[in-house]
Amino acid sequence: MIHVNNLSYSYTRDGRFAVKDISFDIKKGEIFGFLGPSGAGKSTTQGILTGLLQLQKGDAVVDGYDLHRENKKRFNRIGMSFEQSNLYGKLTAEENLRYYAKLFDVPTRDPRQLIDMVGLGGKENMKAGAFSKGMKHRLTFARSLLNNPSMWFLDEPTTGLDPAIAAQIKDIIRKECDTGVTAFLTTHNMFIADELCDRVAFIVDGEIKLVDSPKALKLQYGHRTVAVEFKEDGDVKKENLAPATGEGKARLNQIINDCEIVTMHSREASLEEIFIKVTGKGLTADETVE
Amino acid sequence: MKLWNNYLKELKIASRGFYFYMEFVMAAILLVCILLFVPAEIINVSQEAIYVDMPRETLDAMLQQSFGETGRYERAEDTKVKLSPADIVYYDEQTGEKFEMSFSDKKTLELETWYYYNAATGAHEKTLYITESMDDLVRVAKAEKWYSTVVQAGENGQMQYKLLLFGSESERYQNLISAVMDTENLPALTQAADDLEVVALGTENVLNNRESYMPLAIVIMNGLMGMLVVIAYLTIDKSSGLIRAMSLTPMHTRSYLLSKVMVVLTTSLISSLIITVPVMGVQPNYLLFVLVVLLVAALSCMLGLWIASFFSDLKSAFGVLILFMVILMFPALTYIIPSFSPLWIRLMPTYPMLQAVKETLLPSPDTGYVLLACGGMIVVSALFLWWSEHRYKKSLGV
Ligand SMILES: Nc1ncnc2c1ncn2[C@@H]1O[C@H](COP(=O)(O)OP(=O)(O)OP(=O)(O)O)[C@@H](O)[C@H]1O
Ligand SMILES: [Mg+2]
Repeated sequence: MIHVNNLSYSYTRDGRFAVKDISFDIKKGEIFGFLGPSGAGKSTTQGILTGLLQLQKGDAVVDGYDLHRENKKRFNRIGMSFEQSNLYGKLTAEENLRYYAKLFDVPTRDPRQLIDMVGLGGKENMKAGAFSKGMKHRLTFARSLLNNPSMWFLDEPTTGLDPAIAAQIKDIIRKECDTGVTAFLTTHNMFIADELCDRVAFIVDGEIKLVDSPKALKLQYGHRTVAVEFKEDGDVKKENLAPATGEGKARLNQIINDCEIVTMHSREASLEEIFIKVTGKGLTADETVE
Repeated sequence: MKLWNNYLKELKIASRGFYFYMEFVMAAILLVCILLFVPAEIINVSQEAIYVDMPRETLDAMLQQSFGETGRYERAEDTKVKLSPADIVYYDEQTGEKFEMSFSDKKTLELETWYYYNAATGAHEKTLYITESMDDLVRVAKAEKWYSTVVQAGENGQMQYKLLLFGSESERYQNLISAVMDTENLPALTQAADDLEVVALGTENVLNNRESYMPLAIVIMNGLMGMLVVIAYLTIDKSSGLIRAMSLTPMHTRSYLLSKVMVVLTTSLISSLIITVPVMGVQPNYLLFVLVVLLVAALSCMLGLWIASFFSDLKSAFGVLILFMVILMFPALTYIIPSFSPLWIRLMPTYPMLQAVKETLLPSPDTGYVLLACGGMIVVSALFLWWSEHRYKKSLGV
């Protein structure tokens, strides 16, 4: 669905690249996650693939259209959910979708049904300008589905939403992609990536460090850890142990035999921990993790 | 079809915003100003003081006869003029001889006043003040800046007219006087002066004074508004990110830009009609008028788009935009003062705009010229649309 080869992009064209020589492929029906800290180059990559930014260096084919050749028709099959909502504040929710739908040459979905789907039912006649930030975001998200896109770009689809609504959005993404829609999702939220994505790419400073499925990454890099709370000499103590290593296993056995266990949790390594391990960088902040 | 739908959409969106109505309000204010403060006819009554150095009967005879065919004099109320002390220098029109006079007293004159009415139009064209001494004539003429004439008996008993010059008359007036020196005929002279006035206003006597301001009002309003509003519309879309959403649809950049321009054309046309219909009535050829107004607005929009494409937002484009507008308004000078028409002004797009709008308002317009100007505006608009489109394609999304 997407083939990207040696793609580079510089805003300043002075040799400083926001995206450096990246390559990856996305299969049809796949949910592909682009993970990285702020400023890593996620939106830039997405911008090139959607055509908002001009292709400078490298090759990219999206949905069968070579991006070296401009073709407005391809937008009939593309949906884009923007990180920052962009709506006509003076139009109602329904008018917003209706007007946008008219710009496509293909059959479009019923605006009301989409509005209901993102939980804005009953508010279709409200002006979008009077919406809260989260409501605007949901309407922008709903708009991206109007033309039944086969290639769906999602920029931070759940950021800033309350957890219940975020879960709802996640379900919609899951359901749409089950019908064969391909999704390219950027986020710095590892839980979303973990739960939604078939494969993820780790991107830092414009470079892709690795591409794999979350499950495979956990098998390769993650260690299951066990958090134990126990009483020793009258004090309650806490330790994190990795039973997969010999050292951790021995210590765990020792505690179980000698001490009184208060609590014991088995914990899977999170994608975030793996990200830090692989890239040496944190996800939310730019500082290097020691 | 799609463009039309898009236009209707943009029209509806614009109609909920402030800029849409700003034009109509401006047009209404302009109309009120034109109707209230610009007179339909300039009342240009020439003021003349005269001293007749001959018996009173001669003067009476003159008032009765001299203009019998073309008009008549009627006695009006006396006019009071206050004179203050003054040193006055004047020249004899014929010999160029210089006279110097000094007055130290203050006094108030009651001048016998006559109105001259044109026989054909009945218009009050001249007011004649009669002074009783040479001194009074000199002082009044200097203080009030009136034409001043001395009438004396010539050697062979004929009346002789002599003008007083104060050295402060306009160049035109002095040239005129030297041109007609040998005729010694004051009526011919004033007539010539009046003719010259008519030419100088450049109205060709077909549009009255108020009507002659309409092309200016229309071009300035449409030009200014067209440029500003289309850019305001674009910047609103740009800053709200809507332009990014638009550029991810199959809609072409040109289609997007044109639908915005069409909204501005709509408001420009309506506001032009708001100010034109009440002033011009049924005289103009409205078919031509609508065509020209639409093209004037279109060209302004395209220029605005093009200028704005060099800037990231309206604020930074504003200075250059204003500069462009000021430069483009130079032909307005030529329109008001036709004698000032250097080539560079006639080459500016606003020049044919003004002339074309003016033609459409005339009872019998020069259709050939209007269509030629329209053709020119279409070509230039298309050029700038193409250029802007090219520039926006690169930067629309960012
Ligand atoms: N319009 C621009 N002009 C110049 N530099 C830019 C521009 N947009 C982004 N950059 C730079 O390009 C780099 C990548 O930015 P990008 O927006 O792709 O990051 P991101 O991964 O999407 O970050 P975030 O998570 O904050 O959205 C950053 O260093 C940023 O400063
Ligand atoms: Mg981003």
